[in-house]
Amino acid sequence: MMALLFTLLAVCVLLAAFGLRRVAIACFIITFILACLWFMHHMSASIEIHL
Amino acid sequence: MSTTTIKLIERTLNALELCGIIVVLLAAFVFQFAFGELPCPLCLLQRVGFVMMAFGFMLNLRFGLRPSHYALVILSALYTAFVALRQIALHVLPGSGAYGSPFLGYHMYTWSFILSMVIIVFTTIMLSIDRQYFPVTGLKRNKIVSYVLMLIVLGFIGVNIVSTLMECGIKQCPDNPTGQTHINFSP
Repeated sequence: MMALLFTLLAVCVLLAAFGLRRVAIACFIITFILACLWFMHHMSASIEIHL
Repeated sequence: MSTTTIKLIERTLNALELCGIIVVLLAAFVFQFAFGELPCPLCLLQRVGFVMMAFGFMLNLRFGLRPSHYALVILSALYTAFVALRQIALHVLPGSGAYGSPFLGYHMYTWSFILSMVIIVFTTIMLSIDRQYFPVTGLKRNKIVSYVLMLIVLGFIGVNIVSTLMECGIKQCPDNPTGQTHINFSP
C-alpha cells in the first residue's frame, strides 16, 4: 500500500512536469484520500476495530 | 515594494521551502541507510505527507503562485501532523519506549510534528499576501530550477518505492520492522 501511495505521488509529479495541472491535482486528491484511509485503517487496527 | 518583487520573493521562498522538505527526506534516508533504522508504517505515512507538501510547492514553481496550491500544502501538512501526533501518542506514556534514535533530543516523529506546524504557519503567511496573485507582464519563470527540484523529488519518491517494496513487499508493513524482507541495508 505504501509503495502504491509513493507510485501515485510519482505519477502526480510526472503529470505536473508535463504540464497537466488539473490531472495532477486529481491524482493528488486520490492519493490523499487513500493516504487518509490507510491512516484510519492503521489507527483502527491498533484499537482492535480493523476498519 | 512592487508586485514583481513580491512575486520573485514568494517564488524564492517556495523554492526554499521545497529545498527544506528535500533536506527532511534526505535526513530520513540517512537514518534509514546509514544508521540502519527501518521506517515503521507511520514513519512511511509521514514521508508520504512530506512528499505531498513538496508537490504543492512544485505546483507553485511549475504553474505559478495560486491559493489552491498553498491549500494542498496546508492540507498535507495537517495530515503529516496528525500522523506524527498519533505516533507521539503511542510513545507518550512513561515506559512505553520510543521508536528510533533521537536527533537533537527529539525523535523523528516529534521533529515531523514540529516541522509540519512550522510549514503550516509559514505557508499560511505566504498564502495571505494578495499581491503575489496579481498579473504581471514580462516576468519569466525559472523553468530549470523547477525541473531540477521536480527531478530530485522524483528521485526520492523512486528510492522510497524501492525501499518500501524491499521492506514490506506488497503486504502491510510490519509495526516494528527488524530487517529488510528481501535485502538488508543495515550494517
